[in-house]
Amino acid sequence: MKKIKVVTAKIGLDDHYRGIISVTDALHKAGMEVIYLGAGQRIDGVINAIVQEDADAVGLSFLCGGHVEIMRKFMEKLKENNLNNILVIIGGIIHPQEIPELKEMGVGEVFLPGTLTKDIATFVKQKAQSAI
Amino acid sequence: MIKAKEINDKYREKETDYTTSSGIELKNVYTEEDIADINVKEEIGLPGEFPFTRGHHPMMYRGKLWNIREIAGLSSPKAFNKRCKYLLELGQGVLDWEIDGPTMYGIEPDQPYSQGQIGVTGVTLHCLKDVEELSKDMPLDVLSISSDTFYPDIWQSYILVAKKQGYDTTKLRGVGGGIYYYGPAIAPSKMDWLIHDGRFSTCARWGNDFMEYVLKNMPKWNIWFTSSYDFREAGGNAIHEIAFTLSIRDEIIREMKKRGVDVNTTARQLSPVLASDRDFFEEIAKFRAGRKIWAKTLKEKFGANDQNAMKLRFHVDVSGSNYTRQQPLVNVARGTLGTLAAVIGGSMGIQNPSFDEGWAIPTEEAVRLAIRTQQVIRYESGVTKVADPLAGSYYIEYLTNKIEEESLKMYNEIEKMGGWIEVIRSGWVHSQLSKGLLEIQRKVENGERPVIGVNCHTIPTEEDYQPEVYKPDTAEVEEYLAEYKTFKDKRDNNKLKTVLEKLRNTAEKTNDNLVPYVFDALEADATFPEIIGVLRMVDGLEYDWAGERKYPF
Repeated sequence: MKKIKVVTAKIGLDDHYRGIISVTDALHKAGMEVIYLGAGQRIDGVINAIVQEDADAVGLSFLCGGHVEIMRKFMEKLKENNLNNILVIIGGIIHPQEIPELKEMGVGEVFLPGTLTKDIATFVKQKAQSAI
Repeated sequence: MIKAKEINDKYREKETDYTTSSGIELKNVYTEEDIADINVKEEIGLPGEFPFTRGHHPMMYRGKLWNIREIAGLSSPKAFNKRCKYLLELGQGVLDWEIDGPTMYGIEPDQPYSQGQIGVTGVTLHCLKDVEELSKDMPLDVLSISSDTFYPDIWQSYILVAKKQGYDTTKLRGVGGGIYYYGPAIAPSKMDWLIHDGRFSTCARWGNDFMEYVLKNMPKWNIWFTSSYDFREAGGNAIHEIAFTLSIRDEIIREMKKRGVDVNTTARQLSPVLASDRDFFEEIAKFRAGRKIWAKTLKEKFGANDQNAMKLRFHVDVSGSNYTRQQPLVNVARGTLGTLAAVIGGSMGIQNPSFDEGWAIPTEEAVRLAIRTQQVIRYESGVTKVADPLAGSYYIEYLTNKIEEESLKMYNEIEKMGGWIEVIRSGWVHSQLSKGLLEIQRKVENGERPVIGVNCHTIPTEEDYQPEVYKPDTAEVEEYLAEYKTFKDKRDNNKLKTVLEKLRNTAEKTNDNLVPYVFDALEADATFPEIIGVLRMVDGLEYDWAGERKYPF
C-alpha cells in the first residue's frame, strides 16, 4: 500500500510552531511520510511543495490570525493547480464561528487547541486512505 | 448510580510523579542532610548581597513592589492608546507595547501578506508618526514602556517623540532593545535576523549599535535582551532557560566590550524576561538560582565588581501555554499560582495572562481580572511583607543548588560548543526545544501530565463557558490604512531617497554607528519596513521579507 504523504507548514507572520511540530511528529509516527516546510512560508512555496512531493494531504497551523484571508487565497491556488482532491486540514487559534466559512472553502477539518494529535493522525489516515 | 469503586479510587488517589518538570528526581522529604554541603553565608546570604540568591535588594518589596505589566497590544496606535490608558487606570504603573505580525516582520501594513493580520496580535506601528500617536498624553519622563520589537525602530522613534515633547531623553525608562539575540531560537526561519554569513546581520548590527547608544547615553533604560520565557513555551525546561539566558548575556558582554563598554556598565542594564511555568517550587528555586549564577559568573568569568551589575533583575511572564482553551475560567487559578511563584521568587515585573489567552488577545474584562489577580497577591495575601520567605527550606535550598549545578553544566557545554551564536546557528538550540515539546505533548496525550479540561476533568464542549472574544475593529484598521496612505503620498521623496541611500551606504561601506542615520531616516518619514529593507539589501537579502515589494529608489 502506498504511504500517505503529507506536507505541513505555517503560512503567515507567525512562528508559534509547537502545534505543527507535534502534529508533524504524530503523523510520522502513525506511518505517514511527512514533509515539514517550517514557519514563515509563502502560499506559492507550499503549493509547489505539494506538487513536487505529489502529496495526499496538507496541514497548516495558524495562531496569529489572518487564516481566513490566507486560506481563501490558498484554496484558490490549489484549484488553479488542479489539486482539488488534496485533503486540507488546519489547526490553531481559530474562532468557532469561522469554521463554517473555512469548510465551505474546502478545508477538510479544523482542529482546535487541546485536540490530541493521535486523533488528527487517525482522521488523516481515514480520509487520505479513502482518497488514494 | 455512583459506583463504589470510583469513590474508593478517588479517596485513595495519590501523587505518583516524583520528578520536577525539568526532570530532577525528588525524594519524599528533605532534611538538613540535603543542605549540609551548602555554605549558608556564602551561598544563601542576605537579600541585596552577593550572590543575591535571596533577592536583588535588601528591602525587596518593602522598597518597591513588582511592576504589574500585562502583555498588551491591539489594533491601530489610536485605539491602543485608549487601551493603554485603561490599563493605567486599572492600577498598572508601566506599559507593554506588543506589536502585530506585520510590524514584527518589518513589512508594510498595506501589502498583501499583511492582510488579516493587522492589529490582531498586537498594535500596528510602522513609522515615527505611529509612535507619536500611541504616546499621546503619556508622561514619558516617568512611564516605563516595554516592547517586543526586534529592532530599534520603535525605540528610536520613541526617543524622537520624547525629544520633541521636551523630555530629557537621557532619563527615559524603557525595557527593550536586544531580543534579536534570542529570536531565531524560537523562529528558526528568521536566522538572518541575527546571523548572516557567519557574522551579525546588518539588522543585528543596527541592534548592537543601538545597544551601545543606550549604554552610553541612557542609564535608566533596561535592555530586554532575551525572552527566555519563550524557551519554555517552545519546549525547554528551567535548566535551558537559565543556561540560555547566561549564554546570550555573555555574547552581548563580549560584543559591547569590543565597542569600549565595560562589563559593569553592560550587565547593569541587562534584564531578561523569565517564565513562571507550572512546577511551583522548581520555579521559585530557578529564580533564586538564576540570580546566584548571574552574580557568580559575572564576577568569576568577567571580573565584574559593581554590585549593581551583579544583581539580576528580571521580569516574569506566567506561562500562557499552560492555559487551556477548554474551561477557560480555570486559567485564573493557573495564573494565580504562576504569579505567586514569581512573587516569592523576587521578580520585579510580572505579566499574568488573561483567562481568554487560548482564544484571542484579551478583552477589557479579561485583562482586568488578570490585573486584579496580581493585586490580590499584592494587597490581600500578605506574601510581600518579608523578603525571600522560603529561604532555609531544606527542599528549596536543595533545589536551588541543584538547578544552579545543572544550569552551569549546560552553560559550560554551550561555551564549549562555541557560544550562543554558534549553538543557535548550528540548530542545537532548536533541536533541544523540539525534543522538549514533543516530550510534553507525549505526556499530555498519555495522561502522565494532567491538564485539567484537556486530558482529565473534561466537560462536553456545548456545556463549556464561551468567553466573549476580542476581535480588532475593522473600521479602526481601515481608518489607519487610509491615514497611512495619505502619510506616504505626502512625503518628500527626494529627501526620503537621500536618507535611505545614506543609511545604506553607511552600513555597506563603514563601521559607523547606524543610530544617527536611522534618526535622520525616521525624521524624513521613512517607514520601518523601508529602513529594515535597505539594511537587508546590504546583506544581499530581498528588500521585502515577503517578496512582494521592491526598493522604491
